[in-house]
Amino acid sequence: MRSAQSTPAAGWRAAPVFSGRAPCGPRRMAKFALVAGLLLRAAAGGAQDISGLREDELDADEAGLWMIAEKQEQDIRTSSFNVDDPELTGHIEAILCDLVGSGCSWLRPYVIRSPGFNAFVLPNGAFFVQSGLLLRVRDDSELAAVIGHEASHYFRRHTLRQMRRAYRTNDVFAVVGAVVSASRQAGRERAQSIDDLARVDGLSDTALGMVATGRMLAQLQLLGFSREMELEADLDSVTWMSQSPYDAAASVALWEAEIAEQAAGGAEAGFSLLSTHPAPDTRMEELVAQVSSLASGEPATLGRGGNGIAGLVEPYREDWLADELSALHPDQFSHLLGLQVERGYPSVAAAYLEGVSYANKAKGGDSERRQDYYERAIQAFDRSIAAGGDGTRPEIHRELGELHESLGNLPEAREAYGRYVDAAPDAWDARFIRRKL
Amino acid sequence: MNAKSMMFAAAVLVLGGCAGSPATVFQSGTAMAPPLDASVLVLPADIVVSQVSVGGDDQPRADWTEAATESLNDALDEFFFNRGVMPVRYASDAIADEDLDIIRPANINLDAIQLAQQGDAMPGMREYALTPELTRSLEEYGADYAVFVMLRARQASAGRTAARAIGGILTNTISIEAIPDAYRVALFDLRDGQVVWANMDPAAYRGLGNPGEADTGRWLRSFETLFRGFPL
Repeated sequence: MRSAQSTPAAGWRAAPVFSGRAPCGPRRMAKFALVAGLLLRAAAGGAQDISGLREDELDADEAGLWMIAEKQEQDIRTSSFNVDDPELTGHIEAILCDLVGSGCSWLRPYVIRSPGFNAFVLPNGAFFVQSGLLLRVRDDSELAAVIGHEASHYFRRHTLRQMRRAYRTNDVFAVVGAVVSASRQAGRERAQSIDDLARVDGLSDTALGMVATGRMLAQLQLLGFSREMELEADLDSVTWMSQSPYDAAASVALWEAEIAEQAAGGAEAGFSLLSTHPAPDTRMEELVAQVSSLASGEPATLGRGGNGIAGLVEPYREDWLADELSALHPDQFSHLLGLQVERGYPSVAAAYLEGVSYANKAKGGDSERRQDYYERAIQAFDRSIAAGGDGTRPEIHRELGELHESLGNLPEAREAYGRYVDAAPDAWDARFIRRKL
Repeated sequence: MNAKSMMFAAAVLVLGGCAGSPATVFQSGTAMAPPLDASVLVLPADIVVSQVSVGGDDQPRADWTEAATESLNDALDEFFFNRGVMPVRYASDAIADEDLDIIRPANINLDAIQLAQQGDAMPGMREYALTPELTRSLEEYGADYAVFVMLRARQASAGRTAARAIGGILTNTISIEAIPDAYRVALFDLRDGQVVWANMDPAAYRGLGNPGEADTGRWLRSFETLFRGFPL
């Protein structure tokens, strides 16, 4: 999954599924057929069976996959990225159990400190939620949407299925390629003239070209399979949510927010043949279809779950935002900060971080937009000072001084530096700043 | 052979010597002399054995890895016994969370040594060691040294072997495919934590066959190359 940002939570309800759009084209019909098929399957048998496998029940290839997964789990568990907070992981586990009942005992949730809207599950049941995701979800229902999605990957053994397909594909093309190469060699040995040699080489080059093309098409098909599995996981998640205290519509709100954040950062949400995940807009359309179908068109009546996650994230918010600061484009980061302010994060601190983000970007290159970044940083720091009053961090004045100095605004720079040394006369660099003044 | 050919052959020999493969054995230049009746703690080995599919994909094999770990430990016991060195078994053959505090730095030391060797650094001029805290944490075993083996082995599947054999017959070429990604060993002196000796020679893997099916004899034969220059 990828990241989220806020737009009106119930916005999707305004547009009935598959209406108000262009007439059904083949792509739309195909999508509808896929969703309908998945829904029918879900209606017939509910979501995926929620039982895992014991280690002694595994085939050789799956056991190997588990072995590597166990090593990865151990590496992450013992690393400094692991957020060792039983209350936080306990909350995630509780949501997991709400969704899949006793099936939750097969999964082991971890929170890892890492920016970005992401969660992932290993084939052995180790389940990782990134801090970036926890910063972005608005409530437990949105978190449940992601947890259900990843749990589905585990119960459906998607990694194993994908891996087996890839192995089979590579095996077939390796054999075909070897046969073509061997035939070429044999043909060359039997050749009795230059013309014969040229004919053999030409034929085998054509055959090898066809093998290479076939291999490429097979790889694309594998990516398509991967996208299909993502949709399957989405459906499971929505189904489980609709049978638990969570609002299935939250999965749509989450994607709306993700698309909004990506757009703020200038990313395009288009489809690519090389994507392992469906395009965000496609995915959202399908989620809307699933949610509407499962909720008989009245998703608003569903529960919204609690909001326990917000309180549990609070002690970490500052540090995790600093992680995002270094990972995101300032425009995207600014969007994320807006979300945090909506959730009670002090606007003084948000404006300060926004200023730092733009200032870093300005200092780090991108000369075409440098001026713009400097100005945005100055605006953000000014906002932070205005909101903070006497409680403003002194460093903001120094940062402002540096920014104005970079832009050649010397009177403003002098004023800002002056405020800094007044506010922090004993700071380590106060003497240097005084000399500069 | 005329004079021109002899000069060419001499040049090839000289240049070949210059561009030879880097030394695989590391010997510390500042190691303490071994005590009489030395004992060696056998740290949990870091092993992964994979099967290479027909298409060339690595498929990790848990059963082979487990069997290889067991038989390697048995072979190490016998190897040290034959040299009059007392082997001391670690608490567990499997790598537990707390063991990573030792396994990670052990691997980092080996990485650093390997990089220095490949960079043609002067042998023995640098010191590599575990931290004093880590060395102290192993004091409870009462051993003088600790040995650590790391193996990443790739074993061709029957299908891959057959495909390559048929390909070889058809194209009159011979292909050898039994090269591990890594086969490394280090000896740490637990008195000061220093790496006394190390070797990272993939050639030692030849003749071992599938590590998951290798018996003690085969491991011992591979040790003849892997433990070349072993100081105990």
